[in-house]
Amino acid sequence: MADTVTYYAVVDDLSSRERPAGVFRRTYFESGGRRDEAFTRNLMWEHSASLVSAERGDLQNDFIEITEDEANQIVARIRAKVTGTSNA
Amino acid sequence: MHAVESQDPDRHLVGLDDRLKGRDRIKEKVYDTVQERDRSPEDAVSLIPDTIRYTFQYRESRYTQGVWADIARLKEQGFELQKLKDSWSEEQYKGINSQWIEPDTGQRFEVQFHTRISFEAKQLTHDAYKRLRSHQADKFEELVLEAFQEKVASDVPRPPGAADIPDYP
Repeated sequence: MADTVTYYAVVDDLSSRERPAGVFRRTYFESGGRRDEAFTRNLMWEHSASLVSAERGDLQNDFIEITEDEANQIVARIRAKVTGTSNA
Repeated sequence: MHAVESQDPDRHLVGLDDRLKGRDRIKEKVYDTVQERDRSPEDAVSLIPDTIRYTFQYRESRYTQGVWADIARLKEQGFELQKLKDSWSEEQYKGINSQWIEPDTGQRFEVQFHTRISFEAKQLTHDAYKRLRSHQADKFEELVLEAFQEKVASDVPRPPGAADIPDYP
């Protein structure tokens, strides 16, 4: 079985499901274990503990499961915002 | 909060010495929010909902009715419920966490609802949780830490009706 990846839109009090604040992915490795990453303003996937915190009752962010295509759209929006290539 | 507590001698506030979130943890949350959601530091600070946290602890047999009663009492005090998450069916953590706002000042605070054992389980697994957050554990250690949290959480008795308290909103 290959590694499996689940994507999440991250929604906080200043964002919405339609326009999430960020994007997150959890990878389950075929070899065991998992890795949690957020797409950061460094424009790369970086290790994140936000979902671990949410699973322990942290109420700051909601994690909504989305498709890879939807995740890619959020990544593109973040990339455009950070690089200043759109008004997003 | 003590006014709410005084209305029922059958349960009490616990962990009052830890009601203020530590400065280092606040900095950590601000950093993560700036990095992961491209918020300004000011917005990142304003988004932290649990810089002040209270915890009610109940007997198992009175838990569900006690939580409902205290939610009503908090509303009667004028506090507005912003969020509530019931984690009694989760694997890693048992309890209910809720977020409130004091409307006159806009001050947000968190109220957690626990039994004695779920509160002890939270305390017992806190170091494992911190280690998982640290990004310093390797894959094997992460598996061990998660298994430890799940084992402790699975041993927490679930009070009757506790998992039926609905999330809000």
